[in-house]
Amino acid sequence: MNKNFYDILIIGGGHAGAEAAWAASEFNLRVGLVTMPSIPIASAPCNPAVGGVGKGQVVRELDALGGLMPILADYAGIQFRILNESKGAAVRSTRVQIDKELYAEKAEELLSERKNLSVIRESIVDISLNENYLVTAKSGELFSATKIIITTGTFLNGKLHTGEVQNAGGRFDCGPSVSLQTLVKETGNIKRFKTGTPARLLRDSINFEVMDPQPSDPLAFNFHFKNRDNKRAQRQLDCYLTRTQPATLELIRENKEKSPIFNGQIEGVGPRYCPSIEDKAFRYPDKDGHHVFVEPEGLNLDTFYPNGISTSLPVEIQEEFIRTIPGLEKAVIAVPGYAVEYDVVDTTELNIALEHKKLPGLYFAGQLNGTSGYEEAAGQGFIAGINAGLAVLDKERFILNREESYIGVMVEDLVSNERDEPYRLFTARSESRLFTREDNSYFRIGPYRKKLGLDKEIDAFIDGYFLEREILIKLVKKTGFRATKKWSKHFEEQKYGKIQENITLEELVKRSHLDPEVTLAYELKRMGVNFLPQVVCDIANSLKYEGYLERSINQQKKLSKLKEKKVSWTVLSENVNISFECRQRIKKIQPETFQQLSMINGIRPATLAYVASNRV
Amino acid sequence: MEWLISEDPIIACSSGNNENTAISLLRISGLKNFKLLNSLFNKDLNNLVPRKASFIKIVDKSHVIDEVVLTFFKGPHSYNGENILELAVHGNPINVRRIIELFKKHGVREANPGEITYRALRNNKMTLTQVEGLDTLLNAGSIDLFDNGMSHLSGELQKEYLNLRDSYLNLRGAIEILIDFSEDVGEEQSSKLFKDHFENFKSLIHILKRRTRSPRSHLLKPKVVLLGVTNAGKSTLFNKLLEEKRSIVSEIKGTTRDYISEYFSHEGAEFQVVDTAGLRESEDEIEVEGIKLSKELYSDAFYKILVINPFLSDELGVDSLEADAVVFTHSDLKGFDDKVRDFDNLSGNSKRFSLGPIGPLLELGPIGPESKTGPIGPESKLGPIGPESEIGPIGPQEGGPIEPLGLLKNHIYRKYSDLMAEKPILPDRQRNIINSLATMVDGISQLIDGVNDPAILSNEINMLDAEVNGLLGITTSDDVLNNIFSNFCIGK
Repeated sequence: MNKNFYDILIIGGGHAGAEAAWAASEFNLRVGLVTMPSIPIASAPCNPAVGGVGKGQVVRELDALGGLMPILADYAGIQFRILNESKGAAVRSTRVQIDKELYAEKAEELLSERKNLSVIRESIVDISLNENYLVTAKSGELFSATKIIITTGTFLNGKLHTGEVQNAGGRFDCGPSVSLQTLVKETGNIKRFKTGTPARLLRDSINFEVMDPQPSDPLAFNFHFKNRDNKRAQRQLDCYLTRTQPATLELIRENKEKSPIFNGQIEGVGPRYCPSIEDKAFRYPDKDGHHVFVEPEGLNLDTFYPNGISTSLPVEIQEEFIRTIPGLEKAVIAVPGYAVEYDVVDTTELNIALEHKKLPGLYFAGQLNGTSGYEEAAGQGFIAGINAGLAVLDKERFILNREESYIGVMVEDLVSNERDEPYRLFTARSESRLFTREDNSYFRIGPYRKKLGLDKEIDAFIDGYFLEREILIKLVKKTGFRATKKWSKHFEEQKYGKIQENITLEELVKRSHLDPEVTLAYELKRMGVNFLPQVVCDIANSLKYEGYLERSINQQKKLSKLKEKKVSWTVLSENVNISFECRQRIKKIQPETFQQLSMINGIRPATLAYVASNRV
Repeated sequence: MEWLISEDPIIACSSGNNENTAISLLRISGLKNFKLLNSLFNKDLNNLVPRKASFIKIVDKSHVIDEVVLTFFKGPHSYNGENILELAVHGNPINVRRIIELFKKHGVREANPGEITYRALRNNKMTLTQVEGLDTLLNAGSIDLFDNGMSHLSGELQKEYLNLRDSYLNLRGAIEILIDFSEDVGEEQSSKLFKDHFENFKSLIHILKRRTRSPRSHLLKPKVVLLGVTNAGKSTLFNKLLEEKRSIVSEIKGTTRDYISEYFSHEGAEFQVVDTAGLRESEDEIEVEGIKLSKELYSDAFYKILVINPFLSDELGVDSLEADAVVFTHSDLKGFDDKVRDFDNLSGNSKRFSLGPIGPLLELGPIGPESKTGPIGPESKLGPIGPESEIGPIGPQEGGPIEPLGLLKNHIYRKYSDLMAEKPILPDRQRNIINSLATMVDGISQLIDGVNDPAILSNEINMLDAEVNGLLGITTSDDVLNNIFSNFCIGK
């Protein structure tokens, strides 16, 4: 067999590629990860953080799936935070600042340990479909593979902008790759998206004294199940909070014509959810200040990442506006901010396994699917990697249910609806977010992992988790408090409210004025029984949300009759009674059910009312 | 229910044709082309100019059936979006029937009730709200109600529902910002945003809810119900209101055993006046039933009139019932004023009238129409209408004498027009949705004050979606459609 033959070849060594390689190499298959010679694997070209609202859930889902990202994030984590802490467990998310260098080093190390995985440092210029896929590198080296996963991020036909200066490239420290069309001629529609990053600032030039320090939260759970002792691998650092000033925004507004986003130089569509400082200045003229989080890029790196002021203005203006921000008056720019435009695949041409519908065996994952964020990329990387492996082995596809996971939500969103802007996960995207919580990720996702039958340590952990869970459920149902003087006193002391008749621990935890996690943990401790803290949180919150969840499930069941109603897009797209724009979108997306129709962006209520009352 | 998906060409008579009238209007809807019917006319239908009337003959094998005026409305620019032929035919029902039968023989089906309008809904020409407005309009028993239906038909209500939906979407956006983007937007600002949007939505719902508070029956078929003990004089008043003799009036107690009802019109509104069985202690099973019915009728009434003979003691507690008007009878008898004065604890907002003496020919006289609350003392405007007072009506101070009957009827009508001024929402479907939305929103209000877990709040807010969409007609229950369209007269 040719030494350059692979079962699965992954093109691109970013967060999607690394995760895909990690997943695909779990099977006993020959896997190759092709990555650019000049940059490390799983590097963090933008913000040095993993997790966040909606994204922390993805990282925990990846851990239940045996993924790579949670291991790396724990290892390189230098500041842990729980976001939305006051807003209820369902939307609480973990975010970890990472040491960029340590993160990439660990990725390289762990992937190299996989015996059936080769890391190949090449730049790819062509992929063509023969009997297998034939892959040509810039160096002239040829590879072939039965399955290809493309995870090239922002590199394809990448173009960087800083003021008027334009360079071809996927990021500042690296040249560009060919266009998507050159790489794979048969892919259909191509879009151009844009994203940006702020300038990096030198540590010594920042005055941290005037900013609010944000220390690491020792109570935040680590991501990886083996790190459940909650010890941190690295020394913890503070992040800092400051704000843009009216003068900052004034300066930016004065230089509108120099901004590539606003003077027409950039045509790609940027993410509304992660706007540049120019976007903020022009779109919200009434606001006179925004948060800026000043975040360390590593323990030994002397650069900081000012989160919230990504920009593509000329360097001298960047410096000028940055220096209007308290604490950054003398800031020195190490690397200027820039915007990057890149080719994006039309994900409606992919199936639910992220495989191209017309090019079987070719998978796409990560930012070139039009998503933003490392976590989204890693989640897709896992799905593509696992599915490529299963496909080689001729096994059933691996699909995560939308109702049970954020990764499932993301993949379904991507393949069922065309994107007009970069896609970012947040909790609102999940219809069942009272269930898709961080605290129950092993419960939700564990069984999926076990079904893969890859039988690793994680499976044993999941078994143990389910057992503890079962025991704890029995315990809270059986443990009761009698309405006696003794317990009255206890209830009073703990501010549990009155005890009028005998109640169970379950009923106590459900009392709406109590924090269920705190209450359950306290009572278990009092009884002297020991459970995994994750299991305690899982059960406490499951009890709290039970009733609400049930109601919403019932409602959804009622609605599903309408949602499942079949629609004929061919009839609808010819129907003169539907507005022209709606018909265009219907033609494009080709919805088959009412649910799909209603999910199309820009479909008017009149059209929905029409279709609902009409038996087309 | 097959007709819901049917695309057959259909025919219906859109004008009433119970009697011989000059013209009846037939509509044929849904013809894809004229091939089917071309042989039934003396001119080629393909030459018809849309929206231009033509004089044409309907022929059956060269025999002229009728001479008609035909107008062609070409879809989608027609009432229901389909091709429509409107035939103004001679209005003899025999003729109308014959023409319909002729078309039926040529592949045109007779329309189900409301089917032509249903197709307007199906073709996005009307919204469900508009259809319900049309329903109201066609069945309106008063000019006010007709206007109400008209405003809904023109889409005003739909606009308000769209407005509600916008507010709802803003609210959903606000809670998501609070959860997902409060770090970007700022904690305080995102909390405020949510509160503001919630209050806005809540107030819109409660404004709508106020418009559903009058019972539907009060608006559709307002009932004026007379109640009183046996022989109090209800039937006399009943006859007065109808300005004719209808009820049997006699001195024998319990003459009206069942109830009797008739209609009268005032200011373009039609009211049903109901004379109930007199109340008394009785052993008679049938009478007991009658009395029970009287009380039920009274409590559901739009306008309640209590008829009291002040000279009889009130053993049945009738006097304490709520009333829109109280009519004291036997005003001719001596000591009437003193007797009436004893009733100063009657429900405060009732209007008072006196009537007497019993007999078909005597007038009603008002007693202090402005006495809203408080005791009625001798110095009040009440009375004196005793035997020594002038004969004939005593009108209010200004504007010359108004017939007291008119005063009572005006009072009844004013109550009705006040209700109509609230722009009531009539269709039960919409009323139910609005009321369930109001209950749900109040529940969320309590959650905000209590648990205040944004994830739960958002869950509950998302659950309003179906109801908000339901108001706009984004719903697919066949029952809903069937129910609505079965109310229609056939040709609409």
